[in-house]
Amino acid sequence: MLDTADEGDVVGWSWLVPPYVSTVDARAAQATVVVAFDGACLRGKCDTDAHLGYELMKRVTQVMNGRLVAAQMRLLDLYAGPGATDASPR
Amino acid sequence: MPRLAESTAVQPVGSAMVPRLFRLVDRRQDTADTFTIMLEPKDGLPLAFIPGQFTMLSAFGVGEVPISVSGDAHVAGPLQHTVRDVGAVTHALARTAVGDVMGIRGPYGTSWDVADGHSRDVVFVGGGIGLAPLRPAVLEVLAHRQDYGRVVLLYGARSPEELLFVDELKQWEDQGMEVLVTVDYGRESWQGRVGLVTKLIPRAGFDPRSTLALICGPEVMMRHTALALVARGVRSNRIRVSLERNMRCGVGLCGHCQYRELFVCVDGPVLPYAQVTGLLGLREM
Repeated sequence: MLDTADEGDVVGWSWLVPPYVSTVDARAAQATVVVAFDGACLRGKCDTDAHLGYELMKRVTQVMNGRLVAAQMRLLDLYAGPGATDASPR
Repeated sequence: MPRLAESTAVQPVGSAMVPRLFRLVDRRQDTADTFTIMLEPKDGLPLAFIPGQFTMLSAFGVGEVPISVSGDAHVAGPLQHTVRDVGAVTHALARTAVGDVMGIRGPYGTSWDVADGHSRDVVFVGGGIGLAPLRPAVLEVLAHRQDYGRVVLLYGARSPEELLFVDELKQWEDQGMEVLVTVDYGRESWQGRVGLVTKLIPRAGFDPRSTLALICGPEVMMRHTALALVARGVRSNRIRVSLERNMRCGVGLCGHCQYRELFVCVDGPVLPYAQVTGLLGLREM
């Protein structure tokens, strides 16, 4: 498992990025209402309505940024820290 | 002829540098690499401390390490330290058995000063073994629960197997604390949250305008947590962090833990985030 999504969170953005194939899936841990959109239809609407497209892009970019930061933090091993030596082990 | 440590001629400096002897009376393995030791003073005089302080714990013949006290400051009983086995000294401490004797200097350093959170919300944020130095402060707040507003613990660890004090977390919830736990990696069997501890901050129930936040964990975690708290509206002078540095003497003499104008062993380890905002992430100088 990579992440926990909460109320209002976006689960995926593969509809926006070619080749439009999901790279992750999601599992509901409790009764959940999920809203799904037809990706091709949504892209078409964004192509014809630049304002809608820009608004969606801004919001999805924030989600992408959050996931990227989280991935970077994992690479840094957030909880390892300098406590990996005897000099300052906590 | 007295030995050097017993000579009155060296007492002014020597007394601060000579450890008291403590006997291991109990031991608990918390995770694969982390354990808690319970120590009783051989001279019978209890060692008083305030939440947030640390001691220099020595394994004779190997060396000394700074370890925060993880026990209850207001309950009589053995002195507790929760230690991660990461180096020669901590590995020697990990091999000790009930009855063994080790040395302790201190306690040293500043406290969390949780009383400053009276009538306010208090948010604890722990990362990994960082929950251990927070535990005395948590216990103090819960012992005086009526003096505080909402009390929240946000706790993150690499994996469910590395979570500390798991049995106590439920007790703390029962005592009126909101406890949110997350891990970086969860197996299929893990039913809890997965993700960074910072992601818990928008979900937690506290009033950022009236919150005292106490953070303990690796510096990268504390830096990002403090930024997320400030983004939610907590004032930076109401956020405290516990710094880790290369502490050796514990009394501000040797300079190993110097951090610009700060000696972490005496000016810290607990410091206002506002005071160290630009310093977090720097190596010691």
